Amino acid sequence: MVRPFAATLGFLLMSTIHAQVRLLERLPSGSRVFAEQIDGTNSVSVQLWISAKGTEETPLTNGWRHLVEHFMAKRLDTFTDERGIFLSAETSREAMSFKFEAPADKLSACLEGAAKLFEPIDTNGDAIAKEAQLIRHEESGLGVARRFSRAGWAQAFENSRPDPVGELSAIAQATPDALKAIQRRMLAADNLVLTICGAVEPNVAVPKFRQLLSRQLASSELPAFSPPTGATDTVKTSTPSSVGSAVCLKLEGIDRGPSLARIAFALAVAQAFPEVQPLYTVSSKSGLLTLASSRPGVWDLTQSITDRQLSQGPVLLKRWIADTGRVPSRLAAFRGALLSEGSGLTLEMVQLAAAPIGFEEVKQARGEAMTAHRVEGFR
Amino acid sequence: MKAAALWLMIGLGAITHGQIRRTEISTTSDQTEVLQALIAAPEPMNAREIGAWQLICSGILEGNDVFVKEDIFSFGGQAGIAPKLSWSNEALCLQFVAPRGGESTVARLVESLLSNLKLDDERLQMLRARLAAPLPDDWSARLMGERGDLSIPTEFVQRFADRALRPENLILVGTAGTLKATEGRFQDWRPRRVSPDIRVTNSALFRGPDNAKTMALVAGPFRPSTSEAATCLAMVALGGGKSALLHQVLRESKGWTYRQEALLRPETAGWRPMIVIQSTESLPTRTEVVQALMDATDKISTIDLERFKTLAGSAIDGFNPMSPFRFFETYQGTPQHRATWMAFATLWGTQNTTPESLLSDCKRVTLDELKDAIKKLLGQLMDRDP
Repeated sequence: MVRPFAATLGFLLMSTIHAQVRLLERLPSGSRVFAEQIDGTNSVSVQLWISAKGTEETPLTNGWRHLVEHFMAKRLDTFTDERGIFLSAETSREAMSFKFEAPADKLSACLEGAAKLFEPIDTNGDAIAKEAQLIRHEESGLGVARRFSRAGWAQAFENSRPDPVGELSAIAQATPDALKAIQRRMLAADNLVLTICGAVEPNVAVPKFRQLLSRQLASSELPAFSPPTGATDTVKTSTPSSVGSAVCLKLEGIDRGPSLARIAFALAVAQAFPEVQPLYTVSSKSGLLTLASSRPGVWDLTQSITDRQLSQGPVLLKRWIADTGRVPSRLAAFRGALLSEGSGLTLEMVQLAAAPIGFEEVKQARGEAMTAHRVEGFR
Repeated sequence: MKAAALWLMIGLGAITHGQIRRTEISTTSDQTEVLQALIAAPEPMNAREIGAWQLICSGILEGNDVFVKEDIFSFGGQAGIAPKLSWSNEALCLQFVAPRGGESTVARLVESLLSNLKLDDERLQMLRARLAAPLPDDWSARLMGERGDLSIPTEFVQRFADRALRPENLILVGTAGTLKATEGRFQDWRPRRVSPDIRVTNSALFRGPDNAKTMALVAGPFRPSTSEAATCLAMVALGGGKSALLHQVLRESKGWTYRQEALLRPETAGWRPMIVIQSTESLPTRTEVVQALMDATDKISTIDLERFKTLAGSAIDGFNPMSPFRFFETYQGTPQHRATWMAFATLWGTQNTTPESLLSDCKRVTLDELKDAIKKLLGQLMDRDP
């Protein structure tokens, strides 16, 4: 039997998302600019999300977008440091993101930095070879959850796009002209989303950043990127390259009840067993929730969770949603990821979908985990 | 101005109530109260003692006979911030954030969790299994340090707990409300007096399971003060940003690494400078790394100096995830992080060096002082491997 906690009730009341000032504008070219003011913070997060549409990778170009991301971001190393801004960049199957985190008074500098991302990359064969070596180092240092997620994805989604980190043999074949062509095509106006969250006034921020995107041509006005084709055009099945085990659960989108119940289950497991790392990238589409550990037999661990531990799942889920609304970088990433997929899902919609998730739903998710994909890694 | 900057770190010094050291921090704006407990590990520790320390630390948030884990997170998480336990082989830090009115609840939790440990066979068996798992990667292994001997019997762990977790080793840092709520608590905490275990030699470092190779270089510890400002700025110049030396030299120029960090690891004796780098099969040698960085140090200009000072500012303000200032995790200027800073400052006797005063001192460092400090640090760096 689940014991109700007075403390839990108190928390739920506090975690209600307050209505915040926000603005979403769609430009005639198809770009979108979103801004939301978050109370009680003095920082901003400015994120440029670039959809992979039109530059989808094949096994022969696997990792080329990742290379483009490296070349776009590295030009800003000194620029951001001089201004006290932090930039991170990431490439996923669906999109590429550049995230500027800064104090609120650096908003204009973030805009200036974002503008530099639109300048054509300047590279050559030697620079590509050197960057390929860095990606090799990067690949070898991936964490356990990321490794298992990579392997789980290949199992769960047959014929899906290859892992965005890239295949070293394909990366070695990239040319300067091809990378420039990818950058030009992916920066098509209708691929772009800018999200600005934190201590900002949306009515001021949106017009300011709108100008940045208004110069871009739409995809219909740009030449298509034609990737090379060849006989070995098949996706390799990834192996974890790591010791341990993982349970990988398919999700149907962040606003679906069963997906949220599975996330609640994962959060309860991670709290009960700190050695288990959950990994999920927010999406309105099908995705993968990975519960990974450097120990063998993580599935036994997920089934050994007690009802009492499991009952924390809905509370943790609601806290996760509420925290997303309070932290500029998390909110900007949440909206950026979804808008770049073409989804207008808001945090309130997800919160509404999460409201009915209770103990029974999380318990059902535990049962579903028994039949989930299992991945094991050996030395 | 950052919300956390409204928190005043008051150099009241350690207010002693009985044997427990208490240091107060205050706030003028927040609706929450912080209570943090810091206990430094006994030193030196042999492999058996390290094993016992690791078992004790990793079990604290699992609860005891009074508060089970779910109670701790429910009652201790009412401000919407989960209770947090951070630990290394040097210290453990237990932190609660309470809403106004919840001070006595978190004070009771801290008292109970530290003075009433659950260390029976069943609990230790679970913790042994968890700690014995391979670490996720070589990087984590280097930062964690030596892994202890977990085969020690239950009685040894209980005995060691009496040695390590004692009122005289406890530092409490909190806002006025939470500190007041701890008054009168810990009165019945009287652990047995026990003598240390027989010393044995150090065991080898753990090797990670993946194909990445990590190298950790360390220098001698120092305590933050005005005279060490150049050392702090030197750490920022080494790893505090993407234009800093490690990123530009080891990654961008040499192509040796993808991940490289300079960090100040809090230990009992002070902050220990540490450089960690990760590569694939072949790592550069310590000599190669030091030489490349020495060469780059000679070329640092006044423009670079100003940029490093900007980076130091963003590190103190909490906008710099590459900040070398660490207290288990990167310092971000939150009330909780400021409480941890003050807890270690109390341990080190450096309460007068606040984040703001340290930044002010860093901003006065000259180009020559910076270069000298970097070279001195690089000259001290030793391979952490035995």
